[in-house]
Amino acid sequence: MVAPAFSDLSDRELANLIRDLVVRIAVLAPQIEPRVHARKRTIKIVRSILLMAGGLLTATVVDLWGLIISGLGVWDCIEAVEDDVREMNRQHAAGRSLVQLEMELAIAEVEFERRHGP
Amino acid sequence: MPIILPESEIKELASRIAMETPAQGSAERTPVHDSATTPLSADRGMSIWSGLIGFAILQLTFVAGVIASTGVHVGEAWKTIFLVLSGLALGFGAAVLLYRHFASSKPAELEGDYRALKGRAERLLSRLDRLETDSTLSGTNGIVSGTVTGSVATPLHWHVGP
Repeated sequence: MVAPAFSDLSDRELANLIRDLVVRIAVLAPQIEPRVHARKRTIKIVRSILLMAGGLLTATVVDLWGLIISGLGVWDCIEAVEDDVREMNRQHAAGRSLVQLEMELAIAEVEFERRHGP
Repeated sequence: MPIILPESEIKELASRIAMETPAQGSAERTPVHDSATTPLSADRGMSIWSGLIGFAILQLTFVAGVIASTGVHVGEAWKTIFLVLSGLALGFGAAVLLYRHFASSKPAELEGDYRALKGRAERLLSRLDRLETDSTLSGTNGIVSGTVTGSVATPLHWHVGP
């Protein structure tokens, strides 16, 4: 997207642009993951790792039963990390959009204040 | 005050929302990638994923080896291997958690940044609305269009000069 030259815009265009920015920022909200969800993903990864490692440790004492636990851990871990990577990619993308919007808003703010005072 | 956008902008926004917002209820939420500017995150994701697959295959191979060579019971030598594997699993977990800790977009920071940005945008919008309301309420709109001398401007043309 080519950044508009804000100083060349008319007042009406600048107002529309600010409104457009506000809408775009509001649209970004569902893509930002709440902290609670991130914590849940961390817990899932820790749980799966503990299952894997614990299962292997148990296998040294009670033979194959431990390996079954370990297998469940591997399964859980694959799921957990897959979810995590997907969500982190989404958060990276949301972060980039956020930075882009932040830049545009900063320029719009400066232009608005230049025209109408702080 | 409701936000009124021109039809063309609404269409453009709608198409953008359709492209960027994942489908509701969809289990497979596709990440938003702009391949021209953002090849890194996908690559990073793939490297973790392939590392995990490799690790799981290694473990399964060892387990298959145990079952093939010893039947049901695990021999003493295998116990050592299991201990090593267990250590590897813990190491892998630590690596994943460390990677997440140092990832560039931490959820807490992103959430805070978003809240701050939204606050700034709302403040700017309220200033804009106030300015428009003021100019609409004053008899002459308080504004003369910079381009048409002497005419009363539309409510949005509330300013002359710098």
